[in-house]
Amino acid sequence: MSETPLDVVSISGVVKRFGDFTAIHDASLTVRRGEVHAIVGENGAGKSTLMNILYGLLPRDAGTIELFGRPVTFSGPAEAIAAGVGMVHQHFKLAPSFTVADNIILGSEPLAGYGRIDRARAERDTAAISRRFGLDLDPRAVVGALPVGLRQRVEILKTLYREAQILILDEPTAVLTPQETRELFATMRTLAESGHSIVFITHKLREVLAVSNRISVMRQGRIVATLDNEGVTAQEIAGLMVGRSVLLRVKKAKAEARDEVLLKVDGLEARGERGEAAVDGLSFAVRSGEIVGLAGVQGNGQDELVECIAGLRRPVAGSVEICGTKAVADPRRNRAAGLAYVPADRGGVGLSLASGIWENLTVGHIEEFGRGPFLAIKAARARAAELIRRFDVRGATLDKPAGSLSGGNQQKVQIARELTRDARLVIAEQPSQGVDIGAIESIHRTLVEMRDAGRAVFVVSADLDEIFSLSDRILVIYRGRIVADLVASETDPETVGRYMGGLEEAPPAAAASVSEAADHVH
Amino acid sequence: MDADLAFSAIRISTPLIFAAMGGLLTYQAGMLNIALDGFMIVAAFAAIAIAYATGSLTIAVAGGVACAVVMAGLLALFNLRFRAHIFIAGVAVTFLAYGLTALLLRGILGEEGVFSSNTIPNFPPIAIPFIKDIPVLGRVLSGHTLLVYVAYLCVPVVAWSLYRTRWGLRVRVVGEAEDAALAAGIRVERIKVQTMLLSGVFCGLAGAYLSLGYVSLFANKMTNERGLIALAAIFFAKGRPYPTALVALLFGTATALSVRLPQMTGAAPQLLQLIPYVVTVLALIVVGLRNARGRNRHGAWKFDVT
Repeated sequence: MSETPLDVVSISGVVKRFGDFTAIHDASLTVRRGEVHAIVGENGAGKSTLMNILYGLLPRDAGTIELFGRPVTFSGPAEAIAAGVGMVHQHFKLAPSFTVADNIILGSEPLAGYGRIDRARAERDTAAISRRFGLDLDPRAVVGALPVGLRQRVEILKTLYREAQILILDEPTAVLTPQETRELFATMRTLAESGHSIVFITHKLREVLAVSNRISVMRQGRIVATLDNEGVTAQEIAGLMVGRSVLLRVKKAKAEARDEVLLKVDGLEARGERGEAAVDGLSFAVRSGEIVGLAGVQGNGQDELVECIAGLRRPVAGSVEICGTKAVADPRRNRAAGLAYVPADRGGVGLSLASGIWENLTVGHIEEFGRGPFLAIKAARARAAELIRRFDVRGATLDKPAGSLSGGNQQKVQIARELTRDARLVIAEQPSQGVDIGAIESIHRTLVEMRDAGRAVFVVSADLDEIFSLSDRILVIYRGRIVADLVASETDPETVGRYMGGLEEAPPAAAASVSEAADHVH
Repeated sequence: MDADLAFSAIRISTPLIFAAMGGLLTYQAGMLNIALDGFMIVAAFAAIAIAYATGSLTIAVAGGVACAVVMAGLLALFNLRFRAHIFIAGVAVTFLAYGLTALLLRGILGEEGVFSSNTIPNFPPIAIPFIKDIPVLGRVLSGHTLLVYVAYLCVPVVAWSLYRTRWGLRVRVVGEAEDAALAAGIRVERIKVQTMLLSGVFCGLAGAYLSLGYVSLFANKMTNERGLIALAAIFFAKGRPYPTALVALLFGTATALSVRLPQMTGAAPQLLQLIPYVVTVLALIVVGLRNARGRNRHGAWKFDVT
């Protein structure tokens, strides 16, 4: 019997090009048996690309990959799976209308003759592995009805069902509450102790330090360092990630909230896509000169709430007031009332990715440049060029399609367009999602400047670091209700996390401050 | 009289059922196959030409199916290999099929528009033992030709394949969540090609039945948009086999009515021939309303002004 080699994966000299662009330069990396190996880097550093190569989703242009000491070249995930590699993608790859068992067996279904699926065995096996790894799940539950944390379990069980020895987790904590994250980390440790190797892709440094044995840092397609997780600080890793030291928290003066309420939501109820009560009798107010962060796990009614404010969804009951004007289900009128909206869905709602940058910067300002049915193109282009300079949109020319920009620069285009409108209420939804650290800094700084200029800023984010970095006041949404209203400087992520997970009821004080805010208007 | 009407409804629905089973396989695999008519017309022509030449119904049906499968392969090639949009590719294949059959009708059979011949063999009616002796029901269910029975037997086979087998699970996952299928190591393209070719097989049977069973002639564009009506049935029933077959049967019954009513009522036949199309439109309105209710008043803005 030969012993399992210590290095289960060894990647050396891997290169990946997309056309002229080299996404991965000469990357080398080893993963040991029984370790949690974190790969950190900014968005676009090549973390996911490198792992997609290992998982057979992308071919490599040069270099070798050895698995358990044998060189391998996968032409697709099926071969990687057969060789013992499993991947849990950032965006889950699940079929929502199918059961947990169906999703888990997919691709390696147990058969009962004539090509029939042996459903009884599928359910038995599913229950057995979920017990073995302490990941409780009902095999017959329909995946679409499960909360996000449980869907992730399905993904992990999928890989374990195929007896994966190496698990790649791509940004697994992005959608989890702190409590769910802790459970996931416990699972990761259990799996590592049972001899699995875990590759953990993330850009959250605190998590890296909490769970990993070794840390590889990627920057611009290169692995710049692999460190043992001993005596390393978040600052050091952040420095390696961006190549310079960065502020992890934007500097800002104390808020000077004025009494003028610019956003007032009162008893709002709205239904979600499936007709469920997504927003359930929710009230709060945002005043000028403050940044209010809405924390919550995705899917707790944030989207529907913001859509109601933006006029993209008609509420069932309750009202929204923007700068003293009653909001209606008409985005144009709400914008006229004084709303600037930076949506999370940049490609779908925020920008037209196929259109030029100057056009994207001009829509929403048509009144300014409209000449009857025509457009003062010269003036609009001049203004767009000025905005590109002012907001430091990198790699932009006027006529380039917005889709050719990186996520962070697309975000800057949206922000440039929205914040230059004469609108006193700013709603920023996931402002730093898919944006790299350098750009996050400048986006956050812009939002703080807006606050200091007397606007009201409402930030919706699933990222607690962002909520804490920006907010003066933190609201927590859970199942369509505001369950907490906290002063940012007097609370901590753990407390907010408990509210996000629905572990704590709203203290009476919070409810009082909400009604008090409403009273201000009358 | 009512038993006659039911009998002809079953007969008239046969090509719809075949086409609907073919279309629902591609529907379940996530492809909108609008070339069902194209597959059918080619099969209808090939079947009658081969029957005329060989005198064998077996060879004729097999040949019709083979030709429809070739057309399906062509659509799969355009869509999956050359990445043409399925709608455009489907229209192209259908036009190609209409044009080709009209051309060959002239070139090979030397006829303009319509072809028929006394030497073409007919499918004999088959009486089902026991069932034929049941009063009324026996007259409705028994005495059809072979392909009619085959069509209705296809429905449980398709349902079983889709919901009980590994292949069926994979087809449905490919249709609902292609990413999930890819990540699970399923060969998505292969599944899509398979459903497309099977769609060709079913439409081949539909076409062969049209020219050899339903009537004994070939006419240009004789499918009369049955493929689109089958698609309407599929959408109405959301691709589930039994409900799809039931809706197809309903459309067939509407057609049977439009044939019968003029004789019974003396109303203008042109007006009554609208019935199947009106029923189809009504069904699609129901589908639309059902979807609209999903995106209710309180749904998100879908960038259509309401």
